[in-house]
Amino acid sequence: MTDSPDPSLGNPLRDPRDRRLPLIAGPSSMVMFGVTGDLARKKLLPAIYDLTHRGLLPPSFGLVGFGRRDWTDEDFQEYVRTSVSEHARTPFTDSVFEQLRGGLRFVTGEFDDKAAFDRLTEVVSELDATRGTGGNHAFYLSIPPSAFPQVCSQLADSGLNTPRDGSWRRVVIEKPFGHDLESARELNDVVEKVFRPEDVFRIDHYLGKETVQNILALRFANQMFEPVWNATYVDHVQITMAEDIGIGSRAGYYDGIGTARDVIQNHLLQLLALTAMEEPVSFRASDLRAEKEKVLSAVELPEDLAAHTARGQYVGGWQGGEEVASYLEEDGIPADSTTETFAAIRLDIATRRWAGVPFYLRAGKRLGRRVTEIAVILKRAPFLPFRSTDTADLGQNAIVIRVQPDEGVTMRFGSKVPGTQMEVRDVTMDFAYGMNFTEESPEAYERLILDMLLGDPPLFPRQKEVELSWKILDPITEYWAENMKPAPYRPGSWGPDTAHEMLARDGRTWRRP
Amino acid sequence: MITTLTDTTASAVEKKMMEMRETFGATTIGRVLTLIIVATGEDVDGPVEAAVHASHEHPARVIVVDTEPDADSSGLDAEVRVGRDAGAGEIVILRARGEILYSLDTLIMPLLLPDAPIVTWWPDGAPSSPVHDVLGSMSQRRITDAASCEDPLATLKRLRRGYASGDSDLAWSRLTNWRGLVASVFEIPPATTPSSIRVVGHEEDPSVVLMAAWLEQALDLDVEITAPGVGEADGSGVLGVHLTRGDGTISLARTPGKNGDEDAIVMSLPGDESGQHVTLPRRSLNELLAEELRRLDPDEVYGEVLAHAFSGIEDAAVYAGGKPDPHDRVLADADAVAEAAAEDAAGHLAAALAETGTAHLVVTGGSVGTRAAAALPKALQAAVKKAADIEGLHVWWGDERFVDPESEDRNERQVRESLLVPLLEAGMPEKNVHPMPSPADGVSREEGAAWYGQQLDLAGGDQPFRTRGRAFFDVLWLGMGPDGHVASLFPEHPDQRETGASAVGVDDSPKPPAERISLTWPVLNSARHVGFLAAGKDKAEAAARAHGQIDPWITPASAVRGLESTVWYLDEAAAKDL
Repeated sequence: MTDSPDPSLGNPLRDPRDRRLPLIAGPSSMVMFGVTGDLARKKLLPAIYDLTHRGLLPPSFGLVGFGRRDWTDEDFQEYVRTSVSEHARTPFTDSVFEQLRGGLRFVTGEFDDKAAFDRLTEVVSELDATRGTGGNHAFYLSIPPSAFPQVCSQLADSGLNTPRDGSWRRVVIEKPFGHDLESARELNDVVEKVFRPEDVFRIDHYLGKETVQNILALRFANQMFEPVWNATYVDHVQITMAEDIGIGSRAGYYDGIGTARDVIQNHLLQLLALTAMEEPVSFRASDLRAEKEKVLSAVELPEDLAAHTARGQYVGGWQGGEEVASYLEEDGIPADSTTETFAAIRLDIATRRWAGVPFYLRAGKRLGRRVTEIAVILKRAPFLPFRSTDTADLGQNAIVIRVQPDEGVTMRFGSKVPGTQMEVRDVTMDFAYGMNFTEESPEAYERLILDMLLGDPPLFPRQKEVELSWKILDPITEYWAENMKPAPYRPGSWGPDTAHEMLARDGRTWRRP
Repeated sequence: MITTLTDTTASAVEKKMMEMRETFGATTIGRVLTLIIVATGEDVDGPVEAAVHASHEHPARVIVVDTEPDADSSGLDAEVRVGRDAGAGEIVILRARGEILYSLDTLIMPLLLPDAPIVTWWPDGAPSSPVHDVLGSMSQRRITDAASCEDPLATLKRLRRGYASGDSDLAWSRLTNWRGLVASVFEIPPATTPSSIRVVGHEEDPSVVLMAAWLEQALDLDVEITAPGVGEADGSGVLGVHLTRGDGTISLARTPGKNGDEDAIVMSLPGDESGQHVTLPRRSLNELLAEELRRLDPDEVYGEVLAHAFSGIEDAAVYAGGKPDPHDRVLADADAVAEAAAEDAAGHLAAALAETGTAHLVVTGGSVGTRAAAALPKALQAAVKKAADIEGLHVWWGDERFVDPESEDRNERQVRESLLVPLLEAGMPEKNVHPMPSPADGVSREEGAAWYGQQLDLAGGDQPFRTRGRAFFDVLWLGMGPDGHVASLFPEHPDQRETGASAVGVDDSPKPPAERISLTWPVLNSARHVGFLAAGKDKAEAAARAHGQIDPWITPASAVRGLESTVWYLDEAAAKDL
């Protein structure tokens, strides 16, 4: 599953058939920029602790914090201890923390301070010497994209970006990967000037590996779905990502970005790619990416964007027994903001498999409930040998891949209602992945960090995919900025009327997920 | 929700389950497998709790078979748990008494999920060969736990003998985290193959043995096992691993247990004496089972490591070797042979009955064997201290012809009137008679052999078929053919090579009838006293050969020995070539 040479390859103790053996990251350390930020405190540090607790980090793991605060290593250790004991998923125990503590270091400095990066270089080589981290270092940029150029050039100047004799250097960046095609390219140029493309890991915490693998398994490990997975049988596809919460504390980031850039560009288009792509020749990262890139490059926008897209913004009111503020009243949002909190678009895919099958994507905040799903709606049977009254309650067959919560698959089909009358009605059949309700199910960040340390990249999008996604979205956001204001919608509903009208024009309705 | 059913049947249990599901509603979770737990010990709760826990990750139907072989009456009680009391699965606990245990497979058949894989788990009391067990043979995966058996290492050896693809043992899953740690330590630069490795732990601990075997097998070097020294952590499992390589020694050692600090391991690298802490808690049964269920395909690596841990027994001569030499009793004629054998056997059996309350006798067919059997009831009556002792006597067969039960060819038929009837009249319970199955039982030869193996396992708990230390049978009689065959293990016949199972179906026997069932080498060699019965000059040549070197392939009769004694009862004609 990997493109880069596996560091554990050639270890005679790792027999590929020995699938019990946990994949423990090799000797390595991580340098974290923005370690005092919210994300690091609430998610990243706890994830590193949880990985340690599960025995998946190497004993010699080192973690270097880089930040402005005037901290000693001990201060940093105390900070990590507090963050971990408050936010870790697994119980806090001293012995686990003790394992982590020995490898914690802190370097004080500004991003423009050359001396600080020299100190960082020293600390990193000290870890190589005392902890045996072997020159393998990951740089986690948990900082605003505007700071990337500075940090990257400092890393280049200090030589930290260059691996030596068989070791590796990797850089992790978080979404957003730009806010349009141009900015994505700029951002990428900055990073790839300093790191090789295969060493750049774009973390998209939402699209967990489990989900992607489940979709791949459903489609390509079975015989029963693939034959109907095309325009002959499929009427249309609906991909929904709904959140019941508002923007919370993300005002600073969210305003001016909006739902389309926030989630459609990455998550929904990734789900679309996985749903619509052809069978990859293997599940190697490069083959998988090739298919996703192919299908993304075949996506076509509707000619009339006014008729086939919708944009909304939630107003205040009561949602699920709770009074919530409107978007415009949220902290830090200007009263005249035209940022959308709901977006729906229709896309078509110009391939033989999908010609004529619209893909409807919608995402938003303050919607009816928290759900992400892919619903493949099949065409009606061409002929029904029943009286029309018999099948009045019969809808269209559907295969629904539930992504979250309650990951699983639902199938909807018609069945006879017991009794003397011949009456056919829709029923649903559910499958839930057992993994879903196990306490063992790891947090997305744990898996992503582990995959990054293992050098296992299939789920990390490459720049090409990012650019293709922006190419799809840019014309829509440009059109919206000039021609379409967000329509208001009530919190707890399924979006503005314009979204429902958009489907009604095509003679369809949104599924209630 | 828990419902109890007394004096019930499997189909009634199934009906009840369906009813409960309907009442309870919301059972849309797809069950992915059937987990059968064969509980022979006292503790059912521990394994059930582990199954409930594992069901969150692997929604399963769990069938717990709680056996009570010694019950006076036969019957089935059941407990059905669904909903909150069963985690994400559903649990049926079957308390089976008495003769129900003769047909465990058909007991659970109606309760198996259609088409779903079956996993059988023996939390204690591993069968001598899981794949040959009646339940094990239906399963894709068979999980044992050698460490919970009475003699863990001997159990693991037996499991090696009977290993089949799909077996695994919790002693192996207990190692997973340790192995992961060692594999990652191996990669610490400069990654080179160590020149020597030392594993710390008790050498009779199955996990320690498997750890050493895994390292030896993967790295192709000798691994030393040392007991924990003063100041080192003590306890079960692997306590430390020390890898010595060019740049020094990397040590991993569990910290001595104080303040509950046992979860930790201290790692010392060459040139760094400070020691890094690594967390490695001992794994709970819950985690072990969940890991086992994660894969339903065979664990080949386990198979290879197990094979490496105990060198294979290529030569069945091993089972007979190292035991007291046989001695001879030459008597006037066949009747005298039978009398002498019966008298000695009665003495051994009576002693065992008086001492432990149980005695196991293996009888044989043939003219002398039948006569000896006929002489036994009287001899036994004279030998037992209390008449009631006879209740503890079990009668088994070394081999049987796989023909109609009323056929004169049946060994059992030949001794029914002369041996069994008198013993039953003297108070031996019917259930202590263990005839081998026949085609009239509706089984194939192989199924019959597997069934017989299971009956032996059930009777012996977790101690059957050691060929060293303590034997299962007290007295084992064998006739011998002119070709030197014993039981139905014939010279140069491929079926005698089966040593994994307790009993083997023999096809194409050189002596009619062609189809038979026979005990195998390790089982025949698990007797305290072995008596060979031979009379007539046609046996002379074979008897002489059987006194020579142990050679099961050419002279089967040379390859069975008792732990305490092996006696040849011969008439003068049969003894003439000695």
